[in-house]
Amino acid sequence: MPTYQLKLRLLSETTFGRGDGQAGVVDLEVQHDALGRPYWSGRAVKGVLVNECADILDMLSGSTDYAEWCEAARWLFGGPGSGMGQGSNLSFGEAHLPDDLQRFFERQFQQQVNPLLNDPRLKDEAARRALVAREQERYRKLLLRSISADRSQTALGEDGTAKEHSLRSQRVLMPGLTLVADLHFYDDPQPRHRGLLAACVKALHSGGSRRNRGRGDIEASLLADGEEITSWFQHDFATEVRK
Amino acid sequence: MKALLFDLYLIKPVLIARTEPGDENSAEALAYLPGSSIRGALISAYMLRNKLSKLDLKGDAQARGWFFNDLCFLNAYPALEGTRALPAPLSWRVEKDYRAAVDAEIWDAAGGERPGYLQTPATLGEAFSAMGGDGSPRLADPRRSMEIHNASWERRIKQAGDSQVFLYDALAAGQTFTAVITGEAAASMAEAVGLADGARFSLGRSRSAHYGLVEVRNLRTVEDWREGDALPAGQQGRLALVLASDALLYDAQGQPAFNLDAEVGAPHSAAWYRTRVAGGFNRAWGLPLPQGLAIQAGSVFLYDLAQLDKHKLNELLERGVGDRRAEGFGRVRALVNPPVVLQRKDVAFAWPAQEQAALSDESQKIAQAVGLQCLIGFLEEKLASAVANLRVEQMEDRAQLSRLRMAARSAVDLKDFSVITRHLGQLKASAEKLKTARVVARVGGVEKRSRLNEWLEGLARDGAAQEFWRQPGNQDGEPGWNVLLALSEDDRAGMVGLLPTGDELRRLKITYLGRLLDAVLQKASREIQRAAQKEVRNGG
Repeated sequence: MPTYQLKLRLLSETTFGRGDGQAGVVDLEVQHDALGRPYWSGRAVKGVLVNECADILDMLSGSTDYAEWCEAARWLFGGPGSGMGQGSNLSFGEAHLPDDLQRFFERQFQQQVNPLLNDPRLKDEAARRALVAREQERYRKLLLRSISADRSQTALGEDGTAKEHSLRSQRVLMPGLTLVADLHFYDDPQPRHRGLLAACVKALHSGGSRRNRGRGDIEASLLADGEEITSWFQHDFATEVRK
Repeated sequence: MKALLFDLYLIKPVLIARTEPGDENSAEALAYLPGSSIRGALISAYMLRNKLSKLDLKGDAQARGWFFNDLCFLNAYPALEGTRALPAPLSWRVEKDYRAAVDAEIWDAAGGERPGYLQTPATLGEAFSAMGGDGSPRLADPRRSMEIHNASWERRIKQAGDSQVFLYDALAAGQTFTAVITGEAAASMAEAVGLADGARFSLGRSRSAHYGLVEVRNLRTVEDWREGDALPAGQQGRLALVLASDALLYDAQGQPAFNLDAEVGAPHSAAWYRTRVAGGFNRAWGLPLPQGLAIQAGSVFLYDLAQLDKHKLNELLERGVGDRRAEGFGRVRALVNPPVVLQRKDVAFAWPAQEQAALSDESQKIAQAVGLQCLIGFLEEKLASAVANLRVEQMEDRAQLSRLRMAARSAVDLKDFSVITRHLGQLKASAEKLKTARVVARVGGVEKRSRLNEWLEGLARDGAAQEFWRQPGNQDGEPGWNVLLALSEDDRAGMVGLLPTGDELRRLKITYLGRLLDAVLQKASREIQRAAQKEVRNGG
């Protein structure tokens, strides 16, 4: 089976966060791994697509094959609960930087640390691990600072002046950044499944925090083995819906 | 006994939650992958392959035999240096102050009396151990990843009352656990479910998003597999029976039992054990399993070899003890005459090397943008420090300073610092004032004075020069680019992303020289203004 991915290109500054911040640094932090590489949780990725799917099903509620579309949605996204019949056939990974870029930053970090590991003053494995941990923390902060920016916003009171205690800072990812999420099918998708997934992806235009305040515009597309899939939406959704 | 071993590489974090009660808004993963979950995943794979909506245990004798009668699906434990680790014996102790020391001496209470030098024995911090080739134990805990998630009852609404925040403490991705399936039919079952190198399964909670995906690697069959020591030919000495997994044992009255005496047919002479609640989940019912009180993995029971029936023992070691053995419960390993003291060794530090590979055009652009922003961040810090350490003296003409600032901005716009030199050359009467003005630079704690016009000419030369990174030596030279703003090779080596080269570096250099000049002149102009205002206030 081909390797499927969901590609997200940021069109505006975006914060993929969990709602928390770093004390003394920012009020709203982007999710990132130990090396500072940003990512968007797979649960959030699935969540925004499920939202779009619900809107699409609402639009299709008057059609004759509405039940089939609902069944396709259940096949793709599953239902609540952990029983046998409630699982989905599609698993969403976290949306992270493209694989080659992920490996690039990891290799760059290793290249920076490897010469330090040869220091004869490092007595044992514990000392090496401590050095790696310190360098990792340095690299994390530097990469995060270099791949994002800080933005501050204040609420305005009725008199047009800044409300007290309303200043909030938010870390945002640069527009132009691309994230990809691995999609894993446990079973072969049928045309209706493919079409509905493609429609959900096509409908997805925003994600992350503060979407109603200019942040989080994204362009989503589906990839198979790195190449964009254009046929699923046209053949498997648009044609079916128009019948 | 014959066993099928395979590694499970965690592509995503895995969350198979503990049974013990905790925060209702969080779930904490077990430190291993239970055999019951692995069995469940293989049953799902079997059903998927055969397009079954439910498993007909009455009609499908083969499936019934594989998954419920003939095979045991043992827990998958962390792989330590290529070896399947096992729960560390609860009889092991270390000196309390050295609990975190990776080369500490371990006293095995099952081996003999406490050594005199061990003043305050404490239990180990790590849950798993594996014997190295040198006979020294390595200890480790699996890495964990904690994620905060939120869910809402209403779509697109995230607010208190409508949303729930919860925490998942899962096993981190990127780790390897080694699983075992014992039984003669393991290989045929593996073929039927598609259990082969590269196969992928999902385990645990939230399998449809972010969690659960594992990949099978290094599948192999071992003909004569065991978890502990082989039983000796003779009948002398101590035998420590260590639980390699939780055991659900019941006495004749149906109450939980907390030793192996009934199983081995002899009383134990010492025991180090704990209990915990064991549960599980049945996906066919969609309900949790009834919970029971189990003897915890790692519990140790000491026996006199002379009192034991070897045949019964071998059976126990092969078959396991108690209930739910097919799911990996009740595994026992034997330690014959365990040593009193063991020398702990550290797990060798290693990371998977990343190969050099070209970036795609899109990734290259992102890496370059990151590199540029990183470099700018360093330059901004240098600029702020340089401006703080520079001042202009003996310059009273604010108009002259303003004209110089305009020339500096023009130089930056045109990316050509010779604009400054031409401006200086065109000065007439006011040129004398520039000759008396001084620039004071504080470098390395020492103040260095130079004429303002000479300093400006120096900056213009720096702007035209090719070098961007700091040149070695000459740190006591004129306070220009090399001394004030240039970044060292050490700085360069520690940066992230793809750094700019060639023309882009030259443009950056001119920009920052221009900003330095502008900031210093602006600072001087404000000083003159402040001095004048002070004079007016003082009635001068």
